[in-house]
Amino acid sequence: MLIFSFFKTLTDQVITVELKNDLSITGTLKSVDQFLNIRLDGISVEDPERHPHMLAVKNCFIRGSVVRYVRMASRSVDTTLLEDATRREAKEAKK
Amino acid sequence: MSGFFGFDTALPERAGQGGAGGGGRQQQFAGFQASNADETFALGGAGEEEDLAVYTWGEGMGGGLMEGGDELNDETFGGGGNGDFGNNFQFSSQPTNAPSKGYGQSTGGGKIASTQSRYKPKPVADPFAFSEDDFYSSRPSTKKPAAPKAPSRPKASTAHSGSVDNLWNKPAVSSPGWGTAPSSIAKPTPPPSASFPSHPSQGPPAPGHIKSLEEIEAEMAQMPMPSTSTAAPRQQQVLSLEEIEKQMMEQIEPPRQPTPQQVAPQREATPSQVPGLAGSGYPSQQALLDSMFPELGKGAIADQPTAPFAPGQEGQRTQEQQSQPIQPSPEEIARVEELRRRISTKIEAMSKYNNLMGSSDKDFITRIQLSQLATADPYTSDFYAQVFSALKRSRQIAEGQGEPTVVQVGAGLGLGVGGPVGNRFGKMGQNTMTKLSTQVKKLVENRAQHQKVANTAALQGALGRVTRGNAAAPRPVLAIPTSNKPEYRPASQLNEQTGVHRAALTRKQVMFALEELYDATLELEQMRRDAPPPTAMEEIEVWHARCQAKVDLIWRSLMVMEPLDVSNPHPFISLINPIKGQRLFMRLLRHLPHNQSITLLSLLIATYIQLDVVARAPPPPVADASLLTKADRLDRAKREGATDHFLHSVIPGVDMIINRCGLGLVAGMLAISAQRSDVCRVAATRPGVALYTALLSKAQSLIRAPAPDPMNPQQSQPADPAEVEQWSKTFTYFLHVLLPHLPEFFPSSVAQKAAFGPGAYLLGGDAISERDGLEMERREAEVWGFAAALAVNAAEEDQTALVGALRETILHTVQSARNPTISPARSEMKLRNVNMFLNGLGLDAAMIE
Amino acid sequence: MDALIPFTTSGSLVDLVDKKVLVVLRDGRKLIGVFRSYDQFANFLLESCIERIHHRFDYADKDIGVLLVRGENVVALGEIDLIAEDMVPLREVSWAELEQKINDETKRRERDHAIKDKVLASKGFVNEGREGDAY
Repeated sequence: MLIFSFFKTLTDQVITVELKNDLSITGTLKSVDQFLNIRLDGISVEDPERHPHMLAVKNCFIRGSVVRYVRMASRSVDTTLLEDATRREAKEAKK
Repeated sequence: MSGFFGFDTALPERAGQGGAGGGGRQQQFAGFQASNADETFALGGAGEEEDLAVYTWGEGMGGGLMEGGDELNDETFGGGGNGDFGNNFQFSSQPTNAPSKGYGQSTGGGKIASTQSRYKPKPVADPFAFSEDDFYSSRPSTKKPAAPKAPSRPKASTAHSGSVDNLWNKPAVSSPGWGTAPSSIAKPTPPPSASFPSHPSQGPPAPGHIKSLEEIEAEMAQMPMPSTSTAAPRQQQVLSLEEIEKQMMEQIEPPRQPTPQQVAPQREATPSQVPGLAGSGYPSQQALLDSMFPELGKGAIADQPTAPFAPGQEGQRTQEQQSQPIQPSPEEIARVEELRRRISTKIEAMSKYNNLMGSSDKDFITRIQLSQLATADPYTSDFYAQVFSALKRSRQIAEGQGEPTVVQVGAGLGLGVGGPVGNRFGKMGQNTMTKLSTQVKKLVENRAQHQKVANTAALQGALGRVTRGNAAAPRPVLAIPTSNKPEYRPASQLNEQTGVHRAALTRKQVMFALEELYDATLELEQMRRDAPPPTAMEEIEVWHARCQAKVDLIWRSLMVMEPLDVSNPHPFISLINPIKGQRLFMRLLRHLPHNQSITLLSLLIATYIQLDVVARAPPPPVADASLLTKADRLDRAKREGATDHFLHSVIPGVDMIINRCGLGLVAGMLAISAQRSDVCRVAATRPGVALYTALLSKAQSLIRAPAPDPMNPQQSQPADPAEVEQWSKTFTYFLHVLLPHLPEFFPSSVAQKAAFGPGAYLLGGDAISERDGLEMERREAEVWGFAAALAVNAAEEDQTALVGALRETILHTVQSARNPTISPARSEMKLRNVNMFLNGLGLDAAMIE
Repeated sequence: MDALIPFTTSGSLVDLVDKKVLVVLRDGRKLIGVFRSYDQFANFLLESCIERIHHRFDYADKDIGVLLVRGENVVALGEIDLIAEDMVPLREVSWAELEQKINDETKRRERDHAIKDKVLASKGFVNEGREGDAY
């Protein structure tokens, strides 16, 4: 749940999602769920020539299991807090 | 449910392109009307009768249903074990054109117009449908329990609710029927008249389950087209029970559609017409259209009353609208109009099955997930998001100082993690550094006013010729007191008391200790968050005791109380040497009581020289980076980084403690530092400069207590004369130790000294890059600030000595600031730096020739 | 509790219901249809569904009908902008023609890969996964 929790804080920010099929989609994160499915609005696709089917798509739901990377601005991550959250999670798991 | 059977396989827009004739549309229109009327009738009975039963199902059986849904899901798709499912996935078991076969005319032309045939017969067929169903359900009843329910139905129109109930209450009815269904896929049948005969043909192969589904479908759904009912079994197979459930739920939504009249149109209406369902369909698209074509205002889409209307009509209307106004070119309007019409056609074509998934279905699924997400303690599973958003909120609310707070949102920056002065973001540390320098600046300005006229003459000589109107008495360059060398060294430094010695902590030990500290801190912060309400006295006692125990534990783990010389570095220093430890510093401080933090600071100051950032301070810059080896460069960068981090994360804490100290304590701190460490070495590093600047400026602002520092209003009592005395003694000693080395603290002079060969010229000529140059000036500013703090603290005769010691540096800086080859920004910085110091003595760089 | 709604599968899909959508499957297939229903596993129900194949800027469609897609096969579901889809510089061609083209290209690529693999193998490199093996 840590990463889910983390992604929640990214809502309304612009992120880039790279899928395992090498498709990279940039858009505003509107929603994320416990499976890390991602909903992006106002999307643009890197290398649209290779993905002509995405030309008319304006927002999309991406299944979490096919995501390879998510790129975001470093200022939107509080690494100290993330460390703490990790510690907590590790402790919970130990219990 | 039969709505599914009627799915048009043709894509909406293609249907549009297909050239649906006006006539076709018109007919379709008629068909819709009829079906709507029919629905209204059918659902009317249902709605009224079923309210209660439906509700119970919705509320009471929800959980069970969800489970059931899952099972079916698995059964339908096979277990998760089917690893290769992905690539072999088949859309359907039929050949490509199977759907068109199944749908008969609908795909034959790929046109919406063709669907008319489905609707046309409907008014006639509908009564049939019901009776048909009755007929079938009673017929198989000989084999199956499905039959008994039939008699219970009083009337065709109200019946469907009853049968639905039966279906859901019947546990025996389950998926097996699904598997057999496909076999019953019918061949195309002539629509209207043949629909009846086609049913019997399906009867035998599809057992009771299908029957009942069919029944439901026939009864509850607004079932417009018996002609396509041949396709029913296949459709049912594709659709899960969930589908039916959804259908039911939809009917069951009495709050939104209390009357049957409202239910009926909901089905076929475009979403925009259904107020309760903002989320689905194309409302936004419509808004978009409206905004795109404002001149057309309420176009056909918006006007669409209860049913889709024929394009012909639409065309007429738009013609009218078009003729009236006033808009750009006719072609433009035509183009826009065409676009709008195409889109509205698309929307309309797609709207046929809108709200198949009703909002209660959506709610239902949402609730399933929400129940999985629900947690008693959000801080456990959702720690990051909770704290992050609380921090963000509080940052937005105020940028004020926060005592270690207990969660309550908004009450300062609480939440234990970081905080306003904390080290969360670099700028916090930066803030402290700027605060320090403004503090010094303020002191300097004060001093400058005091000394305005008084005794600057005594200092002027130190700078050589000073152009100042009346000060024409140039004294020879002063005899700088040179007597302050070895004899001022504290003896104690030589014979440190020999105590128990042991090896310094290993890195591994340090890391483990830090992890423990982090854990304890997190627990403590959590405890502070979980404060009992202020009214529960006993609980508060207990809570306080627990917090205190935690604080004690942390205090012990910090090892501050270990003897000073127990090891080198001291265990506490070992803890804050790594960046991980430095990050914890501020967080810990806010939990420690005042006296403990003082103790901690004393220890830190006493062992300051053992800090990595002091002991292994970055070497002075070189003129030509190409002279360095790569390893050298990396090492420098690493050390610079460590220093930056220290300044950002530890110095703010140090400053915070110093700000809470009285003059006596500040004097004591300085004395400790002077006694225990080589102040020159410490002062030659940036952390050292920052520490001393903080101490000196705090002392000066305390001495000037009558004009209390607005930042610390609590310390407004005048300084104790004894303490002032103690301070000036300590300071004088400190100053005299430093004086001879003072110029060496300036990075520029150090660099020059260290440079050799052609590099020296490069440096002197200020030939380093602009960026490096500015960085250099910023570094210089720190030292000039320190010098200014020395100046404002110094007694009169010491000021002279100070100016004498820095004479070369001042002159050099002023000269190079006036060098035309230097950039204006840098030159201005240089002057500002020098003036920070000179103003403290009542002088100004402008006076120097 | 309601604040959590945006953080559910349902929350992110709800406004796409009854919209025209594109569904990309893990095997690379593209489906276009009207999104009618979903569940908490992100299984989808598409109506008026077609399969579309692309080759450069050509495309071809094939009718499918109603389709229930199991969530695990899904890569993404995107809403199609009804206006933008008409502006897109794509050209419809016949399915058979396009399929032929795609097959040819696939064959060519296979061949290239085979040659490349052979060369690499001779230099001691191991033949690694191909495009599409990533999932």
